[in-house]
Amino acid sequence: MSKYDSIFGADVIDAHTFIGNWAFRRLRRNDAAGLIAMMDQFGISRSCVASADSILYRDAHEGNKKLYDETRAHPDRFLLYATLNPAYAGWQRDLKECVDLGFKALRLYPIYHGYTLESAECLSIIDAATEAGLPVSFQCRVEDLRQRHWMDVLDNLDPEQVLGIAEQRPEATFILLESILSWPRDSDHWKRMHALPFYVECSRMTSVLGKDIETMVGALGPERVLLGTGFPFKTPSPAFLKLQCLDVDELNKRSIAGGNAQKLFVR
Amino acid sequence: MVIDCHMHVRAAKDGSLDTAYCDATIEAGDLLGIDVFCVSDLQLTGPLTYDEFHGANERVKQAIARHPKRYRGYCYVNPSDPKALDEVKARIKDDGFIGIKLYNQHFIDDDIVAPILQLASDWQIPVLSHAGHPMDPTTQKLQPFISDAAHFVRAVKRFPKLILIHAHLGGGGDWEWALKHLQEAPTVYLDTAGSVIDEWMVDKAVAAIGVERILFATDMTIEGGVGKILDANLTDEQRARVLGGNFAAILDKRAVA
Repeated sequence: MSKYDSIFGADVIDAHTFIGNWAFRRLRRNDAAGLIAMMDQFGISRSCVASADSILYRDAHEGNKKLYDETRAHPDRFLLYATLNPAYAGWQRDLKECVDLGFKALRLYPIYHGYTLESAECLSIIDAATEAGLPVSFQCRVEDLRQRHWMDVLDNLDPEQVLGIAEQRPEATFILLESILSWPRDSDHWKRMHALPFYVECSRMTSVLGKDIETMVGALGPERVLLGTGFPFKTPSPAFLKLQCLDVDELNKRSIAGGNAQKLFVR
Repeated sequence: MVIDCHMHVRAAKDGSLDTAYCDATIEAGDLLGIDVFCVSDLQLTGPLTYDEFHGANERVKQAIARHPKRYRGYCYVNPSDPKALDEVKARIKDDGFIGIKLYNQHFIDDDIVAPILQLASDWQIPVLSHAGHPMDPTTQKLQPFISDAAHFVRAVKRFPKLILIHAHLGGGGDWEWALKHLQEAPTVYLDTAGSVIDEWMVDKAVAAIGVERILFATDMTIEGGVGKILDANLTDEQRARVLGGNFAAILDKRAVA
């Protein structure tokens, strides 16, 4: 029995998990069985899961295939992100295969995969995903830059740049993962984001002291905020503690814990 | 009792204690089950003059006066300032501060820090020192004298009775590198604070140096700080030690002349 499920309802969806390996640090419980064990411990009914391998594979789609094979026995527990590199050969065919296999959203890593957000190939894959009905997700960082492996990247993805691209593609649905959005409540950034179908996973933000999740919920609306743990890169409890401490009513907490992801991923 | 052994207060724009932040910390402690915060007030950039660290310590004193059951103070000094030792003595003896906080003005094993470490060793009060092994050019450039675990190893070899705490395992930097070195320093304690909440990090720390040397702390990452201890693979007794028992035992050693 989880210590959190009675608080957040029966259908908790973790919008941010991985299966696979990370070249620069050993992970544990990073297969389907390990992830399910964590989910059961925390009362998570379903996880939106991406391939950790795909971040560093030359051919990111190989990670998607491995992810599909790993999770296919548990379709009721996993919602899959398709991680693709639009600067690599054959992504159109790979995207179609992912759509056919039931992947629910696209994941992009411009810095890791060596293209810019404004590039023609990035805009093309956003358009193709939108045409296929998939939301497009961006992860602002994988690990803290201060602990970076000497072969890892030197920059995080800038949320403002993602917002700029979202404004160029207002028909696309965007999901921002592992961002720190500390804009003031009346910032124009929130207004611009609010005008778009733009969702934010809140694992890098806080409910106490700075209270930037509370600010975001006030500015963007609770319906745009997603619970995510970042497991198995990150430990799960902080995500639940943030939601527990968040000063919003129980109905909105349940939306953040799963209702919003249900609408976004289960269509 | 749950003790956060590494937290901060801060100044308002006019230089006085930021009471709203001070109170918000207590509110967060109430929400997350933290009984006591051990705090310092840091100036993070530029040289640190006597007036600056004296003022910072005054704000800590004010925070303690505002919430006497919830705050304990570290005396923050620049060890190269000629008045640093007197400031420490006064804060520890007269104001009841529990220990010393050092930042990144000098490596912890630098000779210029030695008088501070000698006093702390003699008085058996803890020294909480900023630490990290940053791998990114930005932090390396900003903090050229940040102490890493290798500096800590050398410091405790010189002062074997010193109660030295390596700050924020999750404070950025290569924490696996830190754990490798800290295995060579059997008297260094390690606080778990910082915004990095990597899965397996606390368990690896316990495996590397033993549960008796692990201290719960947040350094302002409060939900993350609590969550990483809740998720660690510890017995209830071990968790209680990390959450406060180990640090309470440190405070019991105090032998101020």
